Amino acid sequence: MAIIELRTISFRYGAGTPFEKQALQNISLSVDRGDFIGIIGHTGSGKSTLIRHFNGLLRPDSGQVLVNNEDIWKNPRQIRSVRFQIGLVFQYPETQIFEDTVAQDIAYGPKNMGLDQETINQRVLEALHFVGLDDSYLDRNPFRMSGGEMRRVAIAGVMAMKPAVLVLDEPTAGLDPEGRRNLLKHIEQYRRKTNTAIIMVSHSMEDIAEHVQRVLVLDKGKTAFEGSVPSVFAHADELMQLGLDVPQMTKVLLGLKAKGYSVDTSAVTMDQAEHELLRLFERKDHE
Amino acid sequence: MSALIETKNLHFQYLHHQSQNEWILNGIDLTIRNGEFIAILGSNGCGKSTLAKHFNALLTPSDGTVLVNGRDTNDEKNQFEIRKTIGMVFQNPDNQLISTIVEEDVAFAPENLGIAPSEIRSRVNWALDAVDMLDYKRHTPFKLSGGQKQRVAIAGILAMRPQCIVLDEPTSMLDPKGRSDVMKTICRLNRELGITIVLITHHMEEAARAKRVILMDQGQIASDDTPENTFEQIELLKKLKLDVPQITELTHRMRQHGILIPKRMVQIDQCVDALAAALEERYGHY
Ligand SMILES: Nc1ncnc2c1ncn2[C@@H]1O[C@H](COP(=O)(O)OP(=O)(O)O)[C@@H](O)[C@H]1O
Ligand SMILES: Nc1ncnc2c1ncn2[C@@H]1O[C@H](COP(=O)(O)OP(=O)(O)O)[C@@H](O)[C@H]1O
Ligand SMILES: [Mg+2]
Ligand SMILES: [Mg+2]
Repeated sequence: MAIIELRTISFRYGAGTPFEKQALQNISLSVDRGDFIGIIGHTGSGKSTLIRHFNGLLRPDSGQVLVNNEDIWKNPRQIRSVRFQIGLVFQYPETQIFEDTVAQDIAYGPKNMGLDQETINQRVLEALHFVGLDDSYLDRNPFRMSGGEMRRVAIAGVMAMKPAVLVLDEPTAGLDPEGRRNLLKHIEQYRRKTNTAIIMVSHSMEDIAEHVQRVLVLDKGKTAFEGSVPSVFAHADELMQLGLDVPQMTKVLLGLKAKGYSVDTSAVTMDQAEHELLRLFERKDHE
Repeated sequence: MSALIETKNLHFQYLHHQSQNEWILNGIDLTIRNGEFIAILGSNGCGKSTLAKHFNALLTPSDGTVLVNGRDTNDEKNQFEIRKTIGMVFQNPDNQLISTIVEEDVAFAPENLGIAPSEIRSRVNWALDAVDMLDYKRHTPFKLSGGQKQRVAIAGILAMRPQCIVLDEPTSMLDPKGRSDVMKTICRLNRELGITIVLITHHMEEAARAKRVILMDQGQIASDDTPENTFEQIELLKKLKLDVPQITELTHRMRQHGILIPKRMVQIDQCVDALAAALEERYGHY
């Protein structure tokens, strides 16, 4: 059973005003426990608008958002409870940190949920560890930490609510390569341990290739492609036309193909490309 | 080539600093010559932006000197000229544009420089053309994509006719097309107009397009070399929380499998050509 299901949702900003803007059109998506889903699209294609629908920050003009098979707008007064089930991490979440200690900042969400102090403490610790920080961070001032550390604290704050789905809007933007690698590694470990579904918006085709299972490609508010990573990146030309790209490894293989070599271009990660290139070098050996 | 920017024993500390380190910049000796294309890499907080702000006198040294065309940035009399010579482009495209029409934005700096209106018009057209945004002259910047906004910001700097543009993570908020358009623009400005480029980035692939790569570590220069040599220093890169470009890593792995392709490979087309050559070597022409 899907945890979240979008059924042909459409959304306009400023409906009925001269600034009306159709931002989403007939988007459908089904997310199961433990899924890792990537969302890509050019600036303005509707990614941020879409993820605001997952937890009821925006209400679709038509279509439905189901969480655990129930329409979240059936009873609009209960929309707040959806926010605890679907955790949203905005872009540059470190700008939303405001407590004086890391512990207080991570505790903010669980506190709002009305949990008892003991449970809160336990969740704070757990979440801190999920993002790869140790107990020595608890009493530290988040404003005296590096950008990468602050970002991890902000993400831990959402994890501490134990959402069934964690939605991240460009979580690695602006991080140095190690910060980026670490963060993605911790998100992946968290997914495996907790079976939380992850939905990640990213501009890095390499990160998408390396980490997600399924990709949704948005273009002008519509679904351009949806499917497994290799099946989506098989549309190299179309993706370029949409202002997107394919992973560098795919480009190498496409380059060889253009030179006439019969190479399988569905490899998207380093390991896959290495494997395919060895096959190319070796198969000819055996001829 | 003559020295455009020269830092000598540059030390810097912020007035109200909270860091444990005595110096944010700890003895930087660097010479940037006219026409160079330099990338600066380093972990978050190592001092890249602080260094960049010294290049056009937005910050001045606590100790040591910075010279631009031989002029000391510490001397206030020089600062106007220096800011005209060295332009800066920052990360967030939304914070850099102020006017409601693209061409007005680009005209802003030359107007401040007191340049004659007819000359301003020709400079604005030239600058927008150089970044491939002439068609958007009369548009409002707010409706442009991130990559387009960044190119307008670059045009605004170009209109001052600077010798050098320093770009501080200009692509980190952009989508793939935006990134690639901005990178193409930067490369072209360097190649065709001879404008000196200093590019700060976290993307190894972008740094690989420079002619010279500087690695920074805690306020010091850890390496200063060609991209090809820089990206062979895998241990150092890992230690500095950096990475090697995927292409370099792939060719590395291929060599470990006994496939003869050259070292020091950073670009996709280089790599494709080398792989094709190796295949051909083994099996004859395809
Ligand atoms: N608050 C808003 N009011 C009106 N239009 C908006 C608003 N937010 C976004 N838009 C428009 O909706 C479209 C989709 O935006 P967004 O979801 O932010 O795209 P993305 O996250 O993919 O860059 C864009 O055309 C954008 O200009
Ligand atoms: N205005 C400031 N006041 C005090 N400290 C600062 C200021 N700006 C940056 N710093 C500190 O200086 C160090 C270097 O910062 P920065 O040059 O921005 O690094 P980078 O650009 O390499 O990420 C960091 O420790 C940062 O916290
Ligand atoms: Mg967005
Ligand atoms: Mg910086």
